[in-house]
Amino acid sequence: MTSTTTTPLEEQMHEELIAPGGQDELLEIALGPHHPSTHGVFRMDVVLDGERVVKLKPVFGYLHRNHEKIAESASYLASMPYTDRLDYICSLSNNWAYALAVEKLAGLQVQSEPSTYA
Amino acid sequence: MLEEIKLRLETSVPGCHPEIILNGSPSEQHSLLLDSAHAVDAATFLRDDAELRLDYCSNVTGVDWLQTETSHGYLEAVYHLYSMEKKHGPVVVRLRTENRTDRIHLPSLTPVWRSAEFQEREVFDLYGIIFDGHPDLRRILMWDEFEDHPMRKDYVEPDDYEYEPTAHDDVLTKAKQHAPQQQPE
Repeated sequence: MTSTTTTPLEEQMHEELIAPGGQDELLEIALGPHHPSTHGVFRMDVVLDGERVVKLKPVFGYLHRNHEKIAESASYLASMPYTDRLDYICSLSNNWAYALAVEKLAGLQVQSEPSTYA
Repeated sequence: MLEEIKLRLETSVPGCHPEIILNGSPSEQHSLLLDSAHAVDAATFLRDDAELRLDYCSNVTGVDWLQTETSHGYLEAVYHLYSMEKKHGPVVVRLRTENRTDRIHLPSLTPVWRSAEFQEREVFDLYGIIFDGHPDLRRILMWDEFEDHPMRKDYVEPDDYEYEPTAHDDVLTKAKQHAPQQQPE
């Protein structure tokens, strides 16, 4: 199985890649989630010598939605929900980083404990 | 601090004349503009100098400056550098192309900071800056067959990214705007 994302294995590279004690036969496969619903997500093109990985290229897929492009036509506040979706595991830290960046850019001083709205 | 770095670069890297670019916004994040010819030497100095030790390139991004009355326009690659060892930073370094059309080559700093590899690919993909000396300069976010650079300021997005035989709704509205003569009466 070959793909355009790894360069074809040339003879010279082949020699370099053979693992010590390997089986002298390289196999290039795409490693990653193999399910019809997960097309376009992160995967890795790996070159195997037997069971050893001798070369690996990460392929990002198309999960990146280019939020910076979307932000060009949105207000600063409207971009905030997009930062949630950068990484579902740590939405808050992405919100925080974005808020700090906007505050720094605009020169805003925000009190550290917004306890009352009086 | 930038003044000091500028002086040290001038004395340590022969021929290097960095320029301090002032940032007038409230963030006051000023930066150092390096010329392409000495960029790799200067970057190596910034990384290896005993006092600076800027051993971590945290972020690489691009900026597209359109043509104005005073400038013919250019592209910039911006590097944010920190020192893990000395715990200081960021130092912002810029590289600038000669124009936006045909002289868009910059030296790659990936040989100096390995972490720049994917982000220089991103800048290449989205802004179209060609990094000479990059080990693997391919598109990273857009698909291989894509032809334009989406983060350029003059980028015009297509009516629709997916082919559909009969345009309708928003796509049809966009299509009418730029090709009214092709639409049936």
